[in-house]
Amino acid sequence: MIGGRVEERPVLVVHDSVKARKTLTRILSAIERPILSAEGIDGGTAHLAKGPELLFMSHGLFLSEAGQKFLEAAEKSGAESCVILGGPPNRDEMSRLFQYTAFSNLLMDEEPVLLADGVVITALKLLRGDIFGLEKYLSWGVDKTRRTLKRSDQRREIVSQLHEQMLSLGLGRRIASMAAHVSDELMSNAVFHAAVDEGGKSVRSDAPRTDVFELSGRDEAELAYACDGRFLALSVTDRYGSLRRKTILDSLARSTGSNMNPRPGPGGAGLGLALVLGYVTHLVFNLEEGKRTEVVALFDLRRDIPAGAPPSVNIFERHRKGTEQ
Amino acid sequence: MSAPSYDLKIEKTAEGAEAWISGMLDESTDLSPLAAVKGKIVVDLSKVLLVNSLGLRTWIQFLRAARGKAQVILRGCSEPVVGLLNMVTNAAEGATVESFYAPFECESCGDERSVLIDVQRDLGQGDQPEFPPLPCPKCGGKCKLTDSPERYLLFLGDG
Repeated sequence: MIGGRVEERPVLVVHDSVKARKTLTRILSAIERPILSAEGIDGGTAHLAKGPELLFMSHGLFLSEAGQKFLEAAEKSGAESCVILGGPPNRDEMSRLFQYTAFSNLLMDEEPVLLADGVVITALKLLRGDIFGLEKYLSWGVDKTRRTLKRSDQRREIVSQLHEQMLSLGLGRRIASMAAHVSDELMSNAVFHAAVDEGGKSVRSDAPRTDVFELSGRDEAELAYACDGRFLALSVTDRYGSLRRKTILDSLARSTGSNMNPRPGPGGAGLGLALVLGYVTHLVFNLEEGKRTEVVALFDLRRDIPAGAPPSVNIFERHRKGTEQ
Repeated sequence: MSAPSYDLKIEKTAEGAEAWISGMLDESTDLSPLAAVKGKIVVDLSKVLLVNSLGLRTWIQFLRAARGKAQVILRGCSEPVVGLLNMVTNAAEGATVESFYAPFECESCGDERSVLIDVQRDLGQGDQPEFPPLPCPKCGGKCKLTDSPERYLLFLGDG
């Protein structure tokens, strides 16, 4: 690890599949920490005395009663949790996962080896506390395009330009359309939901989305995007940092069903996150309370991902772990 | 108020109405003129480029308003609309999909095109709908769907 190691606390892998354990151990060797591995909860509990800093476990174990008790014990011992979903995507299980407050990171693929990037990046972000930036998910040196929203109705123009640019990059109509859609929803959230008053109360969430107003200073939101041929990544950042982990979890739990009931009234329809989840391969929330929120959406271009397949989700909170380097 | 990003054209027919929606269905979308129609409403969605969450709310409200008083037929659903129908079960609630566009690519020359598929005419009547063979108009090669047929046709199973 560049910059040397401050601590040598181990990483613990608790997974019922031997293949997954082997693959994860190999992948995690990249972060140069001792790796402990266990097949079940009993083995994992025995390893807690060694003070693991990170915990990777299968979703099946996470959702079991014994798994929840184990997680409580792991949290008390100072381990961050990270969930690996090994089997076929199941929306009901996803919805249950999001109902646990211990949940923060869900990395999902039927083939553990294809999670290599996500596992290493998640581990390093948690260990280093350096959580912001879409470039972490792309090859080194890739240029990103940045657009700043200075007026609420500028969203439409930016979305159209993004769509055209995606097509000109040869990404295809499907990806271009999904990227346009996701950026539209994320920018809408940044413009209408992020702004809060001094008491933390939302000032625009009930405003009609057709309202046109200037955005300056803290109200400006930024869209960034880049592509390295493997992934298309786009991010939207606001300068309020008002989005909370609990809000995200509640919203994720609500959004995993396919039958959607829109919220009436002039404000948001409450469907945005559900649609975003249906389009992306990986959704990352980077939170710094009171300062900024960055949502990164990734589209895997390497293979054909089913539309509507549940994506990986990370929620990183800067105040919870170390300082940014 | 921001300018509308969509266009809605309605023509009365003997049975009800025929409508064309194009552009982006978003916060500026108002489908109340369509919801007022009784009888058979054929809605052409071939030029819909994007439906965001606010446009989806308006769309679902239209379908609910039409329920019981109108028969809604969806014609020429664009690829983004099909993506939405596959993701959101109730996005076609009570409506019938007559035809839709599907993305095909030539295996020889790589030409990509969106092809109109008529559900009754083109997909066969078996349990597993199948796309018809499609020769490439450029080189005569074989074109194949760029998505998996089961996945792309998911919305038909929910109808």
